[in-house]
Amino acid sequence: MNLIYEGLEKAINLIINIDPEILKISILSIKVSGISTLLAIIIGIPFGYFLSISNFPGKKLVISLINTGMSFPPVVIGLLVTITLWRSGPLGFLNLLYTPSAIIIAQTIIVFPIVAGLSTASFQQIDKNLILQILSLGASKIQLFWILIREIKLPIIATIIAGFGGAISEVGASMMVGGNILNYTRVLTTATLLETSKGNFEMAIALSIILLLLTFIINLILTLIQQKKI
Amino acid sequence: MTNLMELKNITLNLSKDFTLNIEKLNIIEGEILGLLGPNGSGKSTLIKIIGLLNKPDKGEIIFNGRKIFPPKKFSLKNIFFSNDIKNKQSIVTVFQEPFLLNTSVYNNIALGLKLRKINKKEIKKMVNHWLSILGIEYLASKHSKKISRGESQRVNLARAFIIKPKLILLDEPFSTLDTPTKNNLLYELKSIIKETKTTAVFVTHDKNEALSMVDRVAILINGKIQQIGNPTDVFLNPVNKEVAEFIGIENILPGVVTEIRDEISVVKVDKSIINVAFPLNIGDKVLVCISPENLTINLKKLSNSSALNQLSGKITTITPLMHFYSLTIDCGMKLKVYITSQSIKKLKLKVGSKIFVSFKSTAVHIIKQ
Repeated sequence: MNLIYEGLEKAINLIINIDPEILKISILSIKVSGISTLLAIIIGIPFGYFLSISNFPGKKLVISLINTGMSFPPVVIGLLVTITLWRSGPLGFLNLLYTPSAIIIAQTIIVFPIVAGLSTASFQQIDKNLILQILSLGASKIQLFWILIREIKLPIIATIIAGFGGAISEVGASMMVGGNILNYTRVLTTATLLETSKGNFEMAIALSIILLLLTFIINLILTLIQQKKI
Repeated sequence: MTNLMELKNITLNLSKDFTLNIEKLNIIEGEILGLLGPNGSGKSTLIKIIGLLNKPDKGEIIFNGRKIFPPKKFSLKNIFFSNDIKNKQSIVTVFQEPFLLNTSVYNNIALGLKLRKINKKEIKKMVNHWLSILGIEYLASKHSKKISRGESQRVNLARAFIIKPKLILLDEPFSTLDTPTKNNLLYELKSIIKETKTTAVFVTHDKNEALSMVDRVAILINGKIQQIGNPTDVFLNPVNKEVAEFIGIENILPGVVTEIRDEISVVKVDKSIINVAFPLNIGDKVLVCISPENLTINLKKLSNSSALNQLSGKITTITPLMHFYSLTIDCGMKLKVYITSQSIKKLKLKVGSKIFVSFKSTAVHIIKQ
């Protein structure tokens, strides 16, 4: 009990006094996970839209592959990205391994199926006749996309929340492709892992509290947008 | 009379045993064309093809003098964007359910204009105009989910007419409304269509709705257009058994012509003989159609009557309907007859009563087979 109590006290001190190291780590975490979520949204939501409104042979197979991707272990993605970016790997010449960009790539790959899968499901629950009605009023497929997004605002924001949650809480891939380098690729999850393994529980608890707080604040903002009346 | 749209040899396979097959259908500029048929006859599918929302397997569509289907060539643009958006933008469909967007009534009505990138000032003017035409100014700022069904359908109509379509397709627009609401809307709809000089296709399964609304009627049964023409003409002279059954002629009996006397043809139906005023040849196989309301029941054979047909028979069933009774009578063939409850009492009719059924030779409609 003592351990937790002391840890909490130290953690609160670190937060109140704005420890520069923790600040840096937090900002990098938000930046990296924010960018990868954004990338996944930009690719994933239109992907889900076209997947749900078009008909082609193999559509069900694509949907089931995406759904499988939603539960793909981040460690496996981390391994694949590491191999790809390894100096002798296919994209080794880019020299991206152990950089924040590498973490963004890995997290985007982790979040994409979550965003694509959930948004496909959201678009598919729209009444087919509503789509026909909007098309019949003269909408192009791109105009239709923006109208439908507004119709399914609730599940789409839930999708974004789930995607960001997947990115910010992920540790395996960030560790492997980022390398947990101080002041460069160390993010909240990898730092927590390191401090815990060193037995430095106060620091680990402080990092965890910050991680939880950040996640809470960002989700609160998204939820407020989601629940806003027109 | 110019054709606004022509469909030629359109086929669309919908399931193993149902194919929509439209050999020819012209929509004349300025008319209200009724599309009438039982449930599952392919009406909604046909309306989606006319509305360019569903592609047929084969065939040709000419709109406004230009061939718009099949499209000229395959291109990426056709897949990702609406192909030929301009044609699409001059045809609009009003569905059975209003399908309003999750926003205010105002925004719903403005939708089509926003899609056409009309400026805000003009949109405001047009929306207010259509709100007042349909008498729903008070709804403008309300949320679309907080208005009644009748009001929703008015919003739906305003949303469609505001874009000044060349062709408006009405797919049973009021079938989910109660009768008074429906009748008011039908009346208003017809005057809006005529005032705006819009060409319209009006889908319904209700004969009376068709009679009051449309200039021409096309009867669609089993995916095929069976008959097309002036509604009173079609309802009085169905061309085949399917149409006759659909429009509610209950006595449709197969017979053979046995004799010709002056202008009267004698047809043998089952064990009875019927005289009909219809030019036929001996040996012709025909369907004899008699509406139940054209039959009269007497207790005795009439000596001086203009009705050429008087058959003796027996009442087999008596079924009460809303405003009258439906009797089935066995007089060598089975006939359905409608009479009032007054007549039943006056003639003391009951199951088993022996009676005479009489009808004029001109009350019989003949379908040649």
